[in-house]
Amino acid sequence: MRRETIYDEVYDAQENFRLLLDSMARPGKINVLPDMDILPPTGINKSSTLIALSLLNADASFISIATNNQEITTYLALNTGATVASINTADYIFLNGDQAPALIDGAKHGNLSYPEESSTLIIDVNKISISPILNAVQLILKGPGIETETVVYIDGINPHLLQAIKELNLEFPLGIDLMLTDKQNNLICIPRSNRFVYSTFN
Amino acid sequence: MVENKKYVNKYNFAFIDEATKKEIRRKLLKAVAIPGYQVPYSSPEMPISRGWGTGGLHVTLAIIGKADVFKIIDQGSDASVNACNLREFVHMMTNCKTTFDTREATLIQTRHRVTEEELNENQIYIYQVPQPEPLRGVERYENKTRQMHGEADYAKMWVSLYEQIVRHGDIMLGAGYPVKVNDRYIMAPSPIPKWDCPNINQSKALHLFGAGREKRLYAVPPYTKVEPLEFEDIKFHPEDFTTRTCFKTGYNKAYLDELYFDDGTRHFVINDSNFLDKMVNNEPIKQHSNKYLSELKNGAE
Repeated sequence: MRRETIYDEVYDAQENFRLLLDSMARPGKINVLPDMDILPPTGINKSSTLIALSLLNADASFISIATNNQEITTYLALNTGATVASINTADYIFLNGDQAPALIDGAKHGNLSYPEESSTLIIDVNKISISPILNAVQLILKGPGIETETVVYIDGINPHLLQAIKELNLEFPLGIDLMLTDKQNNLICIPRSNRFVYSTFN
Repeated sequence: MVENKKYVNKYNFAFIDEATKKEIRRKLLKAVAIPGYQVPYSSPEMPISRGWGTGGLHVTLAIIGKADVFKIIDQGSDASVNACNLREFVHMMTNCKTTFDTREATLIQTRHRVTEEELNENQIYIYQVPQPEPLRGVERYENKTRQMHGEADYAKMWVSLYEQIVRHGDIMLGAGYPVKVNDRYIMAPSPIPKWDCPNINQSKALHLFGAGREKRLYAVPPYTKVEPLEFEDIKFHPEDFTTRTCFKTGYNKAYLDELYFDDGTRHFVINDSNFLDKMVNNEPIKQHSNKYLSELKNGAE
């Protein structure tokens, strides 16, 4: 397991965070995270790792429910110092887009007085693009941060997972926020304020 | 020999330690995801007192990077005491380029004004907020106001506005006029004049609010509906400058300051110093556009 000494916790973290903030403020806008020379274990995208490195520290908790979760958990805990939590208490949940929605059952989605005490999902997919991809999911995003509407195509996400998230986010301000990354270091965010519709594009 | 880079500078880049920056950053992301909702945060110690712009400073320092161009205004002016001191502090701690030019800046921190010039998509606008809770005037307990926000129970606020109209004939709120964000949360837009409220609506820039003393962060994402509270029969209206004009430019479609000269005569002048400078020098300016502004007649024409 490698200790990522190449990651500069001052400047790299700031740069990555600004891209995250921009993506969160403009849902569906594709930002490209820098292609850094880090070596995460298999089963987690490089850019998901960068999100973890830029946001997590000892005050935050996370869980990985990806297929290779044991190695990922050890790696993230070693490099961020964040605590490992259960699905019911984790602030950040790392998973793969093709996983079943049942796995995020019980993820915290805040309460009316403190809706921000909710989890953020960081989902690994194969490809995020503004141009159509065959057999991928087409997302039409509407809501704060978007002037009219934004369309993105996502390859490697389970539509049932999107449905589960839609249902969780029905009762705004309660809900969970999404960050999606792909293998080319692309990033989009979907905050809970967004009312997206999805369909399979073919 | 390995060069000791860690202790070359007396302070960490952007003053705040990295653990606290990460905490503020996590909270900022949640604030953006829930437009208008006040997220509690740590509000760490700063070398200035809480209530003197620490909230805005926390936000600025948590997001600023080496490539940013920083502008800060206090009551519209780049040259007031609060703005000058904070600009110098941010510059000392980050070595970022600073500017007076609204268009050139990527981060704009403000005390109590939105620039007259239109903001663009690459800008982040940061407010120093003294009182983030719009309901504090009608409910003194935090747990109660939090519950009211949670249940979107804003009856007391509406009654208070109604009572002001009954007693005084108008809503007697000049600065910090309450607005409704994304049809959900009522938010205090910090003590900006009513004039500026319509300029946050569907803005191209991201707006972040930091209240250091009250330890709250909140945000309005770009292209978000922000409506000043109004009744069906009594509408919101910004300040009325129709009978006044700026004595330097003759313009009156901007927020004006009142000035008294030594001889006792009264004059008005455009409050936004960068906007005024550009007007005086005949530089091209693109002002915010909103429905209240477009109804006004231009005194300069």
